[in-house]
Amino acid sequence: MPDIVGFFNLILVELYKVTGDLGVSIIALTFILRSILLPVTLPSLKSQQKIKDLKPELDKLKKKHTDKKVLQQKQMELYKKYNVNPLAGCIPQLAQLAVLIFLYRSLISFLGDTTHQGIEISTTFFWMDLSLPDPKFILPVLAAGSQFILSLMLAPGAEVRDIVPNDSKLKKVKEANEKEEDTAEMAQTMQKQMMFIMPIMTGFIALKFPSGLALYWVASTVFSVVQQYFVSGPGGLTLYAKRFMGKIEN
Amino acid sequence: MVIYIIRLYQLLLSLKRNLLVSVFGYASYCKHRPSCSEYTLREVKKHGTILGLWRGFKRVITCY
Repeated sequence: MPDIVGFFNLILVELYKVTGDLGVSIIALTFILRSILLPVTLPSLKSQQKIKDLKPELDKLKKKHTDKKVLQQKQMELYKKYNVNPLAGCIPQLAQLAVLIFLYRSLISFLGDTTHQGIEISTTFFWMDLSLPDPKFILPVLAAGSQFILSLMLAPGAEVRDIVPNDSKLKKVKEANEKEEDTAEMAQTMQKQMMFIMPIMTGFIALKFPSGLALYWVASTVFSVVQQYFVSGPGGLTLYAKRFMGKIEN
Repeated sequence: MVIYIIRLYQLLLSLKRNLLVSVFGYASYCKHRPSCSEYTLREVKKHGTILGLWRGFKRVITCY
């Protein structure tokens, strides 16, 4: 469906006609797209937050019911009681990935050609040419920085872990607990490393690609950070900031 | 071998999650608990590669 690419290009041209500046148009496109998505993303984000808050209760249910079917039913009841309706499953993700590819392709094709619908489009934006990588490395740094903040906010280490206190006298339970803690910790360390990898990767990608794309990326990430902050609060940000400050003081 | 591939996929999951959240502000969670990859990993360890992968596949297609 190459028409989706054409559709995004059309919006960009219209925005360019209004603003007269490609950089501003790209930022405006980000904000328009994300604002359209708000009615979907906000309830879903709130649901996710509720699920996080309900985790201790869910764990209690898990301990109480060993039968999977009963557990699932109880889980659904709990969600219903607190009005949680998570947009779950892989279909939304697949749709997102598809849109992402179209967006990427349309931006690349748009930036690759300066004449659209007979209009000569100027690609200069502040110090850079939007069809080329940023020569001053400011956008890559911004992209990596905003991504890092978002990663911290999404960091899994910030959740309160609800592991049974290890005072059980049964050796088996003790061992199971320890094992669970081990795997949880391992997964966390891996995810912590990933937290740094994503911003670094973003920075490198922004270095190589046209700065128009990097600009879209930065605008979008900043939007996400603000949205995440207002719905779920700072998340892992406060925790990691505290740890960091603690390390500096010591 | 299959186990390593699944582990690698799990590592990349958080990258995908970050990517989707930065572009769309939202990434949906897995419907199944444990996640499909974790389940497949367990089944492969328990029943061998072919049967384990088959069971994992059956689980993935029930996610909609």
